[in-house]
Amino acid sequence: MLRAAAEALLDGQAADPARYDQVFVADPALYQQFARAADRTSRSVSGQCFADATLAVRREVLAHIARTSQVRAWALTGQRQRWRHEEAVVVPVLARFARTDGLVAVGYSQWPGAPRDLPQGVS
Amino acid sequence: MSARVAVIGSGITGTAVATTLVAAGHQVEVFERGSDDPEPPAGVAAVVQRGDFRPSLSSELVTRVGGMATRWRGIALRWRPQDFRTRSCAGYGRDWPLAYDDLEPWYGRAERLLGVAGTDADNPFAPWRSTPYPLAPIPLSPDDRLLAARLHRRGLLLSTTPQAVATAAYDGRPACQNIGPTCNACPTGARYSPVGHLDRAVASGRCRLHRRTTVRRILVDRRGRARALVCRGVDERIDREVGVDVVVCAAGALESARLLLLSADPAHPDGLGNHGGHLGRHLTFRHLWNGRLHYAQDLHPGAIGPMTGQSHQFLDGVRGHGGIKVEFSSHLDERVWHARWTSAEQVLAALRGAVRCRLVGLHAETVPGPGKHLRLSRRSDRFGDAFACVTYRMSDFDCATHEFGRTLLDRFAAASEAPDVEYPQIGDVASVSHHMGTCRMDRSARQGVTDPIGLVHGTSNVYVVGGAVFVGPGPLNPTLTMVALALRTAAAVARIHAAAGL
Repeated sequence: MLRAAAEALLDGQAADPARYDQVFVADPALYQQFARAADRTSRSVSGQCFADATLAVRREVLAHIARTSQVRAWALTGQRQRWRHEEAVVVPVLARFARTDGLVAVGYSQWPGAPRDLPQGVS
Repeated sequence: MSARVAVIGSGITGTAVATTLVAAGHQVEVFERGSDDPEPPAGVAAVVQRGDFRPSLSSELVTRVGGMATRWRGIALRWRPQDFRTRSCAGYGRDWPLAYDDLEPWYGRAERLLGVAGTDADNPFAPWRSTPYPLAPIPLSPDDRLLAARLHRRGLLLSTTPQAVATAAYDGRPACQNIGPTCNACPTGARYSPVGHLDRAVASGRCRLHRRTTVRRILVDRRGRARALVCRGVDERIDREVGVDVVVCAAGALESARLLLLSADPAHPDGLGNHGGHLGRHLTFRHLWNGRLHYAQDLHPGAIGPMTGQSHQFLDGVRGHGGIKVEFSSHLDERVWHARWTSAEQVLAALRGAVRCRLVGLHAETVPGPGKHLRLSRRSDRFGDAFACVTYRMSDFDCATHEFGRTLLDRFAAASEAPDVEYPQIGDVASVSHHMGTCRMDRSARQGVTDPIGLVHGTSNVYVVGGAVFVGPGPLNPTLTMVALALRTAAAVARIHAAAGL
């Protein structure tokens, strides 16, 4: 379910979804909530659960979560939950992407954290 | 006979002193306010601030074993002869009571201690040296090579950066594999950290490290002889006195001055070494402004953790403004990480912009002045001891130096073919955690706090090391000079106090 979310968030970019599993460890209850909300929205859009839906549907569901989260209506419980989903799911996945696969996508051979070796020779 | 030497602070200079004295056979007690943890305990470190300087000085005080050099970039540059003679050479600041030639042998020792990788072959502005760098240099990054070629065609020189990052296995450290995003947090230990040397000193059996222990006072008798420290562990309810033969204060420029002020007594009513009223008075930071040059092609900053390209071509100030080191930072523009993305496309758009941007650091000289000083605050810490109160206001000299920096950015942008320039505002100044001058050295007790060796005037066995004793901040990174001076002080302590039969 959460890996399906990561795949959809990364929007078809070359990336190993398993790399993003680590971001889904902080709050299991919240992720279950997120899964239920995403499933509910996905079924209403496509009749399928989130994990089985096409990438396009999954992106639409996540975009809906991101869009509604910007309202930040703190007094409304449902809005607040969506905001928390964005904080716990959308933001960390994209932040990890920016520091790893995203760097490779814009031309880096490797990202920090892996031995990259120093350039050779002194100019 | 060995002396009981108390070293206050376990950072790069305190560790340099401790290891030197342990090797000379002395018994050393190192007092460190912090623990082994990377973050300072809440409420232990604090500085009250006034003036123009916006960054938090409290957050710059790294209270942990190993001090600030547990998270430094490792840049280790020798100052040049004229940096010690700015009054004579450029008409501003004050000449030091020592010359580059006095310090040159100690620079060599400091480079060997820290394991500095470098070369002067590509830097015609480097001072003379009697010993080679201990390690081969880190070459310019591919981006910097490209920019260096453009700059060179237009008369601007970009050279490699000497730094305490091992390019081959050295003194128990592995060769750098370029793993981290920067050297600030080196994951392998290739960049020098004092912790390794401190561990070895402790393992010798002649050095004891008192973690989480705050030194509150230095007790000095009427003849000016320190006899004990008053200190307290973080879990202790009462103070304890620790007898000492020699005290070396290596707590950084802010906390060293604070301790000398707090150690006032009837014989030293204004604090130790403060006969001339200079304690805390000549505070300076090393000013850093970051500009940004935007290029038309991808350059991929951040592909290398260590800094590589820098220019020493504009280090000489004139009467109206200070000199500047121009540094092409290896880092990706950190603003890219502050964004709040909702799609991978947004991420890639931000990264595509960032890979065409080079941060350019303007490391600028300043001078002490009436708007820059440290005193004791009315606010106090949990022991009831006054915090340091730092006032720091930019002067006309600083405004002129900032303006000079803008002209340099324009020159480097034009020469390196960057169509767009982002200029830093004068208020965006950072100190890079380099604080200096609060215990200025001078031969005369009327003009300084310590003598040129670091002995506090009016005392016979209290020394200060580190940036606190600097006369001026210079335009170049000060850490190697701090370590060279500390090694010189340690050698003098070992010699003088062994000869005194302590």
